[in-house]
Order: sequence, then structure tokens, then C-alpha cells
Amino acid sequence: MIELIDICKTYPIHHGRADRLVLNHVNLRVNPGEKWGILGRNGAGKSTLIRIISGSDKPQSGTVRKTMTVSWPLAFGDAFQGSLTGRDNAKLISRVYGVDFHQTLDMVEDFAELGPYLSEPVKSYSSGMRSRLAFAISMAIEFDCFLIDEGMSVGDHRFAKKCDVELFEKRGDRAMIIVAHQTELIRAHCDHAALLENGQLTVMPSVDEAIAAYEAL
Amino acid sequence: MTAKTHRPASVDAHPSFWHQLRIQRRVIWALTMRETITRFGREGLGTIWLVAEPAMFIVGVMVIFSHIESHATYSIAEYLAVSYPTLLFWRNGTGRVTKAIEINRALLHHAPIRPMDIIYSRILLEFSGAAGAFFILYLVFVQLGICHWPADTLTMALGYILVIWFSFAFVLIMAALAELSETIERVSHIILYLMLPFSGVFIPLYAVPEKFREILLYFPLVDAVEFFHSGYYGDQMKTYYHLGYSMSVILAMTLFGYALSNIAIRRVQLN
Repeated sequence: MIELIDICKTYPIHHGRADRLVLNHVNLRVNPGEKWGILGRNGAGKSTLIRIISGSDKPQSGTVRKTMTVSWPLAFGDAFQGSLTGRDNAKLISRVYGVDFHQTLDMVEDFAELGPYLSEPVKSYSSGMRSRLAFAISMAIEFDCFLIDEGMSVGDHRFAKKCDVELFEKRGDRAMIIVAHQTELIRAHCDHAALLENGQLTVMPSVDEAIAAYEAL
Repeated sequence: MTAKTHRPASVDAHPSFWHQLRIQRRVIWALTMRETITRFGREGLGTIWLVAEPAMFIVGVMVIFSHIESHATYSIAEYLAVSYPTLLFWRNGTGRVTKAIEINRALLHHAPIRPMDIIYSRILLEFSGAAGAFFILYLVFVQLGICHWPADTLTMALGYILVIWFSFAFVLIMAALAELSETIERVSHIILYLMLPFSGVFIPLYAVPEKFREILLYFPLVDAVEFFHSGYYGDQMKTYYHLGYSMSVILAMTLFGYALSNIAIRRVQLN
């Protein structure tokens, strides 16, 4: 279970002379196996919400409770060191999570299809290659809940299909939190949805209603 | 699935202390390896630079300053070979940790990585290089006849540990201050430079007029380095130190460093 209780998050603006409220008393409860779609326009605070859930940022007030292991935001290539090769990054993450490096590497070679690029620095990768690497590495570690950023949907068709199989079919029993401003991904995979607007998170009765409300914004 | 995968240890609301310690050790090691490869790469001398760079520094300083006239019973080269490497810990260490958390913030998306681990891994890497360079050069210099074996190995070792402890606390404080204030970050190399007279390295205390000596003894690093000298030189050099006092100050510095780091980390994660 992941529980966000009364989360408030502000960021300083005007060189710290003022604060902008990004999340305003946000509450959310994600149970094992639930697929949540969070819809919101650009700048609505989706990425902030993801950072709070992953734990990389701390809220000003409120509590985050986690009894599930949570992935880093998938398709999040920024957690890679650009001067390291794809292989070295896979090694780092295997070590951090305490999983066998060779198994991770098998998974990455098989899945990311980076070929010789796996031994090249990540900074030479295209954004698609980065997200393939990030996705493949995260598939080698079994999380209870996957955080998915909309960026994942930018991969090419073939990769998107592979993701569907690996993530939504083989790992269909896991919880997922998908943030997006495109509705297809959420319509296709989510059973719960919420709308993020002006810092307020509204849990909607159904995914269809969430999408309708989002499109009416 | 083609590859068999392990489930990571599940998140426990109250993980035991030992379990946490194991995770942290694993993470620090992973980050240290990452830092090593990032800094030195896999080509050319690679990781050897970790030790080679500080070693070149030490030898360079010895070559330049050994031509200074001296009336001491030991050579300047010998003195610098032993004393100068203590400087590498706090000086190079500080350079490595400033803004380390801010720069590596994206790493914090990985739940097992805690902000302090980033600082620890950088300190570990830098201190290993400094200690490695000293040990290798010392053995070489003993063989060459420039240095001799310590008069009292245990005292010298304890002195070295005291210097490392001071450096750790100092680096921790500087890391936190640099994270909290742009100004401190910018002037950190000035602070490091101005610390040189208080480092215990360039002038041994017996050569300092008494009234200044009393003042210098208030700096715990000076005591630590003097204690280290006493282990190496024994009766050959008169040394001055107040161990109880310096250990108390260093302990206080360590606690202060941790408190300040907590504030700094909180600030980084809030913004």
C-alpha cells in the first residue's frame, strides 16, 4: 500500500522570496494491484507528485506511507550518469537494489536492443534509447508498484508493444501509477483515475469520468 | 521472461538496524564504484589515477620545498613526505563533496539510496586515494632511505586515524555548508587555503614561538598532526598536543556536521 496523507508541496519562486503551491492537501491511497492514472495538464504538478511518491523530494507537510517497493519513475533516463556506459549504469542499479548484475544485463541486452551502444556512454544515446535502457533495467528488479511517467509512451511502436507485454501482461498483478497528459495510456491500462488541477487531486469515480473531466478542462 | 529475477527485499516498516546497515553498505559501495568509473574511466591509467594524482602532488611538493635551508636533524623532504599527505584528506575531500547531493539529486529516485550515502561514497573514494598514496610513497621512501620506520607505530597510526577523523568531520561540515549557501560554496577554496597555517603541516610546533604555539594548540587538527609526528619521530622531534581536548572538539565537530547535514539534506529535498 502507498498512502499519501495531506501532502502539501511548495517550491520557492522569485529567488526564494515567494512560494508557489504545487500540491495542496493531496490524499491518495494505492492498494496492491491497483492501476492508477493521474491526469493533469503540463505544469499541473504530476512530476512533483511522482517525486514525492518516489521519495526523491520531501513534502512541506503531510505523510507518505509505503509498504510496497516502488520503482523509480520508468522512462526516467535522468537517473543515469551520462558519462557512464549503459552497462555500467545497469551495474550501479543492480548493486543499489542488491540484484544479480548478470541477470540484469541479460534482461537489458534482450529487452533494450541497444546492441553495441550498451558499451557506449549514455550521453550518446537518443531519448528513446535512454528510456529503453531505463525500462529494461527496471524490469530486472521486481517492484510491487511501478511509477510510470508519460515519457514512456514516446518509444517507437515495437518498443511500446514490448512494454505492454512485459509491464501490463507479465506484471499485471502489480500496482501502477501512471501520470500522463495523454489519455490513451490511462484508458488502456488503468482501473482507477484521479485528476490533478490547481494543486488539488480529485479522485474520480471511474476512469471514463476522469478522462471526460480532463478533456473538459 | 527469459531471465530469472530476484525480488528485492520488501519494504519493511521497521527494518532492523543490521538490515539497514547492510543496505547502506551495499549502496555506498555501488556509489563509490560509480564515482570511480565516472572520474577515472576505464581507459589509460584508469583507477590508478586515484592514487597517482595525490602521489604526484606529494612528490612535487617535496621536490620544491626540500631546497629550503633547514637546521633540523631531519630533512625537509622527509618531513614533507610524512606530514604533507595529511593535508590531502580535508582539502581534497572538501573539493569533492561540495554540491554533491544537489548534482546527484536524480539518484534519490532510487529508494535504497539515501542522501548521506552520496557524501559517504565520495569521502570514501577521496580518502582511499589519499591514504593509498601516502602508504605507497612511504614504503618507497623508506626503501630509498629518505624516510625511516616509525619510532612508535601505534602512536603514528592513532595520530593518522585522528587526522582522518578530523578531516571527516570537517568535510561533512563543509559539504553541508556548501549545500546551504552559495557563498560558502564559492569561497570554500579560500577557506581551504587560509587553513594551511592551522594545518600543523608547514611549521612543526616546536619551531613556533611559544605564545603562538599556545594559540595553535586550540586547533584540533594541529594537535592531531603533532601527535602523528610524535609517532613517527619519537624523541627526534619535540611535539605538542592535548589529546583529550582535540578528541572532544573533533567529536563535537562530528555531531555538528551531522546536524548540519540533516538540515542541508532537508533543504535540498524540499526545494
